[in-house]
Amino acid sequence: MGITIALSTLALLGTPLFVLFGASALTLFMQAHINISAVMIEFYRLASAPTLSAIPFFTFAGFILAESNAPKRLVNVAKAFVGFLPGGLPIVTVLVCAFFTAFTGASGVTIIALGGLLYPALMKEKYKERFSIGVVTSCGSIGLLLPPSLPLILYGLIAQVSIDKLFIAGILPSLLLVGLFSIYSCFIGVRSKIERIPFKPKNIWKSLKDAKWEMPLPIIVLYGIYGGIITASEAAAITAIYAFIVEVFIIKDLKLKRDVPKIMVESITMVGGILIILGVAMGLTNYLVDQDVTTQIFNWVKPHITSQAMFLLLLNVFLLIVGSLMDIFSAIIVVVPIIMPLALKYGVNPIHLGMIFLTNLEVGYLHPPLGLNLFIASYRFKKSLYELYWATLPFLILVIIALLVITYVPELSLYLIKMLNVR
Amino acid sequence: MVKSILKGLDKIDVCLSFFEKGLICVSLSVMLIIAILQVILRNIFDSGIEWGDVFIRHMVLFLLFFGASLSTRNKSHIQMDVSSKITPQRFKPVIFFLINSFCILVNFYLLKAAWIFAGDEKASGSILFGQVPTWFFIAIMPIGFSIISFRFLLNWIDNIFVMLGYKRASADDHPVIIGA
Repeated sequence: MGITIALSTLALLGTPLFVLFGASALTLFMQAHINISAVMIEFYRLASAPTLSAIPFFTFAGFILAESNAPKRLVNVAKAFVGFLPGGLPIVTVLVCAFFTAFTGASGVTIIALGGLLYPALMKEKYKERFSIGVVTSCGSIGLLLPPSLPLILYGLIAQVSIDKLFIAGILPSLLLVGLFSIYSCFIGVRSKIERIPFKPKNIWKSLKDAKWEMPLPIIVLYGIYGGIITASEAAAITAIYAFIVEVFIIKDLKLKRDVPKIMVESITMVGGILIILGVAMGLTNYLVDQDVTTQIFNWVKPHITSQAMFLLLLNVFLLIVGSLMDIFSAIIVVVPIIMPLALKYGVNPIHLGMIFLTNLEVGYLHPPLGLNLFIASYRFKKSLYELYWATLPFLILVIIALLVITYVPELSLYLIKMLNVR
Repeated sequence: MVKSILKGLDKIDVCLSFFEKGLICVSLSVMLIIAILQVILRNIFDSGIEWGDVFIRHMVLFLLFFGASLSTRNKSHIQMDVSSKITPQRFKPVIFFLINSFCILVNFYLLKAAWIFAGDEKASGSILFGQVPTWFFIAIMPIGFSIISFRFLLNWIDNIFVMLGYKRASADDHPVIIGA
C-alpha cells in the first residue's frame, strides 16, 4: 500500500512512465521472490514480435513526409477536390490531417506541421479564430484509426490481434469521424457566409500532378498487405524507403546530409520513448496476467455489471478518465492486457474493442483539462488553454457522438472485415 | 572550477549524443536495406536472407535504447503531465531533483536485471542465427540501461547546478515538443 501511494505521487509529479512501470515490476517480482532478471526476460520478448519493426519504419516515413513540402501539396489536392464546398478549407484540413495522423501516429507532428500551414489560411478566408483553432487542434488526432497508424499497430501487438484486420476495421469508423467533422465545417461555412471558391477542373489535374508521388502511398500500403505480397512490417519498410527516395532524390524537398539524419534521430527518439515503456511494462502486465487480476476484477464487477451494453458504457467512462490522464501509447500498453480478458467475458470482439479503445483515447486528446492536443496547440498557436477548451468543444462533442456510435454499432468496425474476408 | 566541470560535462554529453545519433542512423539504414532486400529476394528471386527477419527485430532493440537515451537527454520521456503544468516555476528544481534521484535508483536495478539476464544467456550458450550467439544482441539491454542511467545522472548533476544558479551550455539544446 505504501509503495502504491509513493508511486502514484511520483507519477503525478511527472516521473517518466517507464521508470514507474519498471519500479512496479521490480517490486512485484521481488515480493514474489522471483529473480528480477524476469523483468528483462519479458522485455526481450519484444524481439519476437513480428510487427515490431513496423513502428520505427512507419514513424520515420511519417516524419519524412511531415518535414517535406508534402503537406502543402496534399492540401492543394484536397482544395482542388472539395475546396468549392461550403466550409471547403476546414474540410480540406480534416482530410489532410486524417492522412497525416495515419502516418505520424497522432503525436503532435500533425498539429505542428499542418497547423502552421492551415491556420493562417483559415483566418485569411475569414473563418472565426475560435473555429479555425478548434478545427486545426481537433484534427491533430483524427486519423488515429486509419492504417497504418502507430496506435493501431501497438494495439494489435499487445492485444495479439491481426494487424491486417485492424487496418481494415478502422476505415469505416474513421469515415464516420471525418464525415461528422466535415458536415459541421460545412454548416459553419454556410452560417458564417464565407465566400466560396469556384470549382476549377484545371486545378485538380495540376494539384494531382504535383502530388503524384505522395498520393500512391496509402495504396502501396494497403495493396501490398492485402494483396498478400508483403507483411505489415515490410510494407512499413517500403513506405519508409519510398518516402525517403521521393522526398530526397526525386522532389528534392529534403537534403540527404542536412535533413535525413536529423529526421531519423527525431523519429527514433520518439519511438524509443514509447517502446521502452512497452518493454518494461511487459514484465508488469505479465505478472498481473499470471496473478489472474482480471478474474478478480471480473468477480468483483460481475454482480454489478450484468449486460454487455452496461459494460461498454462503464468501459467508456473508465477509458475517458485514463485517456485524459495518460498519453495514448502508455494507455494502450497498460490497460489493454487487463481490460481485454474482461471484455472477452462480456462477449466484446477484440477488434471492436480496439476501435472503442482508440476512439476513447482520441477523445482523451481533446478532453480538458489535460488533453495532449490542447497543450501542443496552445504552445504552437500561443493561445491560452482556456481559449482552446472553448475552441475544441464542438469537436469534442462530435468525437463523443462518434464514440457512442462506434461503441454500440459493432458492425461499423467489423463489416468490412467480413465483407472482404480478411484473415 | 565550476566552469571547467560544466565544460567537461558538456563534452561528455555532446560526445555521447554524437555516438547515439550516429548509431541510430546507421542501425535504421541497415534495417531498412535488409528489409527491402528481403522483399525483393522473396518476390522476385524466390529466396531470402535466412537471418534477416530475426536480425531486424533485434535491431529494433538497439533503436529502442538509443532513442530512449536521447529521450532522457531531451527530457521528453512520456509522463503524466499533471504536475509540470500546475507547479510554480520555483518548485520545479526540487521536484526534478526528487524524480531524477528516483529514476537513477530504478534504472540501476533495471541495469542489474539486464546484466543478470545477459549473463544467464551467455552461460546458456544459445545461438540466435549462424555463428552469432543470442547474448551478443541481448548485451544491448545492460548497455542501454547503463547509458540511460548515466543520462539520468547527468540530468541530476545538471539539476544541482541549476539549483546553485549555473547552467550547462548543451543541457537544454534539444527542446522537443513532439510526443508527450
